[in-house]
Amino acid sequence: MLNKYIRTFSMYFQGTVWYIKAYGIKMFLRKLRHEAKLILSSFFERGNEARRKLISFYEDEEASFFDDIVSVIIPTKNAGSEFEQILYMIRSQKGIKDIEIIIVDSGSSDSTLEISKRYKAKIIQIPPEKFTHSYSRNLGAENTEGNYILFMTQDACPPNDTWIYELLSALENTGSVAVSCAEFQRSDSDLFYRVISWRHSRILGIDSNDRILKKPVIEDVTSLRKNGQLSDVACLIMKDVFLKYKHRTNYAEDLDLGIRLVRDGFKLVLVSSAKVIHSHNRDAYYYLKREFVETFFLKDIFKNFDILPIEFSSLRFEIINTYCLINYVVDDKISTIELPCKFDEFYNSITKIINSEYTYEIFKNYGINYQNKNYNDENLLAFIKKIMELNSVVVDTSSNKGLLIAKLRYSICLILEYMKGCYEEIDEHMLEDFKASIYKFFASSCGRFLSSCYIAGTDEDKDMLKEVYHELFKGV
Amino acid sequence: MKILYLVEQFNPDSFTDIEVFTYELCLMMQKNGYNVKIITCFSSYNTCNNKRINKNHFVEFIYKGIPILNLDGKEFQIKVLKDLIRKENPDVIHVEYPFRTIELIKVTKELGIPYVLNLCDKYLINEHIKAIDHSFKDIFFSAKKVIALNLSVKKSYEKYFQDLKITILHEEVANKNFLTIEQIAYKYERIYRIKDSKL
Repeated sequence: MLNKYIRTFSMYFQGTVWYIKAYGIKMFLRKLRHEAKLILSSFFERGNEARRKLISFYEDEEASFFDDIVSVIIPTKNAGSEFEQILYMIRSQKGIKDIEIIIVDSGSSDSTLEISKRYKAKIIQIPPEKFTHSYSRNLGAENTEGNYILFMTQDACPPNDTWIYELLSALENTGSVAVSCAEFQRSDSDLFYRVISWRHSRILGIDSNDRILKKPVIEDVTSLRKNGQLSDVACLIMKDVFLKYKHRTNYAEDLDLGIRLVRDGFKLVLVSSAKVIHSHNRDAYYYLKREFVETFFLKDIFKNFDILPIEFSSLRFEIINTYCLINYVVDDKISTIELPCKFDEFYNSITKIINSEYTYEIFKNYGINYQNKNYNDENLLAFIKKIMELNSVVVDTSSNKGLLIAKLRYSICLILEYMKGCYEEIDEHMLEDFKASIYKFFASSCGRFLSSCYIAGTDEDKDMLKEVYHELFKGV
Repeated sequence: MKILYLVEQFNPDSFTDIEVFTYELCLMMQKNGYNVKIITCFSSYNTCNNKRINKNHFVEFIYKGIPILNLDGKEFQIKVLKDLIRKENPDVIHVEYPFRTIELIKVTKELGIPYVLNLCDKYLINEHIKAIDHSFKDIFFSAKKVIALNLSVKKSYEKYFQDLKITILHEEVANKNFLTIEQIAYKYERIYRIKDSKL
């Protein structure tokens, strides 16, 4: 029990260290004051507590039949081999008058369109260059017949034949206008994705409950995200409400819609009693791009979104050296942990490693040209090389804040916090997943810091990052 | 949440259908944040170089991320089995082949831990029919859920347990040829997680 508290404390401590390093003590105290206000306001809101017991809606013996059409909209482009199963599951849904499937395709060259036809989907084709997350979904919505619209992605699969019925019941029973649900991980889901998905569910408060979302008392970034988070992986919404609001941003369009709805007094519901099968196993470079792009849109959605004050010359130094440090730690330190071992032993070894002070001389053999191909994709390595070539300004290493390393320490504590819930013992299998997730957390932090650098940086920084900016915006 | 899987045999060297299924189900539950462990009565573990013998003479090893505890065909006193389950402290126990792990289920029931019975084949009930007494019946009727592999297995058991509610979970696989391990695991998750749920 004591161990549990020490670990949790350690995670929050690393988070605090990272925040102070990044934003300074003044900002930290401001955040602390704000968090205290939030806790106080949630105490007064308790009477309105919007949590519901975790029950399955389909438990109702006299389950009603919805005399409505649900229009399922899926934007597609080369949807892949599992697409047929997704359409099959959508067509198999029970308890609803009819299902209409609308595919908004932006240039598939595989069998996506052929499969869609086989499942009697209405197909809308748009040129690839016209695709945006909002445009394709709005276009689909304008061509629907049902009273309800269900937005899905081409890789999200209903887990059973009552899934849409359950979402619809959640929406109707709670008087909400839109519902999204938690994710059930696929068999190839990697540790990184599972950790971020777990953290997301915890932040949203749907790790063990369903939640009804409404306008928060204090409209800060955290409260708005917590209370306006819809997800287009699976989002069922009343058609008349959607057509009034529509999607409008090219990224995070679901969050933007959710926030506008709660701000206007509508209720939303997030369920974990029904889940959609969805997860990813993407390479580290994708997460770098994703985090980079996301920061730009979050800044537009939230007025008070914190942008990290960091100069590119300093960040460049941090990216290169942290990358080398990870290579050193993964190969020379983590790989020497004796396996299999109990999770507590693993936790202690990792904590000892990440809390050690490293000088840059130690890991010079693991420099930028060192290719740890087991965990790195070529794109990430090429990107780091590009960053290295961008600037020749020599940074005074003594003034370096070590922001990336602090952030990475916090991320590793987060991975360990997740792992303690499902692993009692660690073997080579899990260790490999653990090592790969460190690189992915590193990549996503790089994306976040680079975007901050671009947004808040000098004209000189912006100019230097222009090419990087265009590269990172592609394909997310 | 911790889930223990009781399976008669678990041989990494030579898998049969039920073992493959149990392993994949365990892996899916672990991927979804559950703490899982397999307890087996028999296991060959020649290819697992990480085996160790604990103080109760159970053999423990990890097979591709899943911890296995092997009773190694030995008969243990009820007290030892009770201590074992108590130490593992699971929230729910999933049983494959109930007849072959009957002592462990009895202990589970005594400790008040909810358990799910997976009925895998119909031959076993015919084989064990003479041994079915009140305590056996009680084990079936006290389960959180009793699941049959298919209609034929369900009917075989219903002959002996007329009022027992048996759910067919896997039949859809055969009928529609379309359920994935994710969809099957999702069904089990609901059984483990949601109180008295239907599927």
